[in-house]
Amino acid sequence: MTALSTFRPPSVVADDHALAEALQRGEHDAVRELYSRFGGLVFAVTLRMLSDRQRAEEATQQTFLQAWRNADRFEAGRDFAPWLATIARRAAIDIGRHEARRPADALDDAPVDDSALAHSDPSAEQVERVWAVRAAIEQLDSADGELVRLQHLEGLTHAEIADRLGIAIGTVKSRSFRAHRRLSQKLSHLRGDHDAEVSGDANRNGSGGVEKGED
Amino acid sequence: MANDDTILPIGDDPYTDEEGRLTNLFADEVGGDIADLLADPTMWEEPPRGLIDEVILAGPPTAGDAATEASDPGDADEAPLAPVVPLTRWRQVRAGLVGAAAAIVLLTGAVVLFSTTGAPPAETAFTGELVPTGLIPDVDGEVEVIPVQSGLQIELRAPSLPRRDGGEFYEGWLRLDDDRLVPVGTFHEGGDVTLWAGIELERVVAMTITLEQAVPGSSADQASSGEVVLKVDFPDDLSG
Repeated sequence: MTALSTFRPPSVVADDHALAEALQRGEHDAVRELYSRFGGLVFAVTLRMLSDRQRAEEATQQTFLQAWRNADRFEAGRDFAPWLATIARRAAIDIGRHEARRPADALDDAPVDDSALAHSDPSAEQVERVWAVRAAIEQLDSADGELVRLQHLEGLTHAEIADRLGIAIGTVKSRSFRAHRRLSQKLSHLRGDHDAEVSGDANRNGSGGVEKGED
Repeated sequence: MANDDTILPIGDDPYTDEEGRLTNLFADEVGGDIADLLADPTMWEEPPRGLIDEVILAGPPTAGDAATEASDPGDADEAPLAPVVPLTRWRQVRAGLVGAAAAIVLLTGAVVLFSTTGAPPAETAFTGELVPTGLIPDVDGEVEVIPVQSGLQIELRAPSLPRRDGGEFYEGWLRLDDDRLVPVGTFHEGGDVTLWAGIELERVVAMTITLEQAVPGSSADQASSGEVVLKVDFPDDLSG
């Protein structure tokens, strides 16, 4: 995991420090807060890896339970993201492997597209990309996020989005422009390093605030 | 960059063409695979909001969980995760357990109806106060647990629980010493409820009441919502 550590203002670092300490004390509110902040990210990773909602929920549960139980080994103040992403990947791998060891008769009954039948462990870099995309989505405000979802997931045109949301097409266009600029800034670091070097774009890691992790 | 309120004329958004569809510009900037991820439904799914309640129910933290020493990402990547209670997996076998519970209820009824031996009167083994989790404000209640020949009879008194209809209902669960959950029955309101379980009392560590919603077409194996509204811990020294 290399680039999940993002720049965090001192106030965020202080909040993370307090949250880590609360986790280490076993406080329920702390684990709820951790889930509130990272539940969607962990779920995106596990769902992408396992392609099964139920197994992804199980992996997500295991991730937060492991994080909670091992909070005393987490250095307070560090970014939770790389730590949780690594645990999530590990949990999903374990569950995927467990499914792959199902009895033969169960495998015979499994659909041909069952993820357990064609399971391969994703790399940390693949997990990092999923995490980063989900994080970028979550950092959009809700209106922009919905617009991006309609564009990318549902494949709607600006006119169709305007009709769906009941807003002017010009507003859709400006929001789309703004949202994609932000996404581009947040995610451009995921391009190959050679691309960044070739482009010489000094802003690639700028306002997106992404810096290399420590490992 | 455009301001939030800027309204661009048609054709001025460089991320779209005249038809208003995405062009390759965005994919060029972030990479085609990233654009593909944005079109992947998994990126937009949300986990159940009650999922964390099941994590908390499985707590508290176990100090020194030897197999989960993950102080940094590198460590976590190498260290095997300790086997964790498969909370969600429980849902897969829940249908069978619901059937077993139903059989227990029928068996208990049969015992009550046909017993002529005059079994000794059952005694209350535990009375506990149900503690609200905050999911529903201003609710409380108590449970009385009575070991009977067929298992456990649980008298629930929680009249402050608002009645649930229209596909919604409450469900009682016992958590065992191996962290498994056993369903003990469903109900609309909590004023006077009797629940049953074919479980040894000494194995029960807690009881929870969850808020559920019937899922059309999957009544036989509907999963727990994990939305715990009331909970009571059982003392360690109970025995049937």
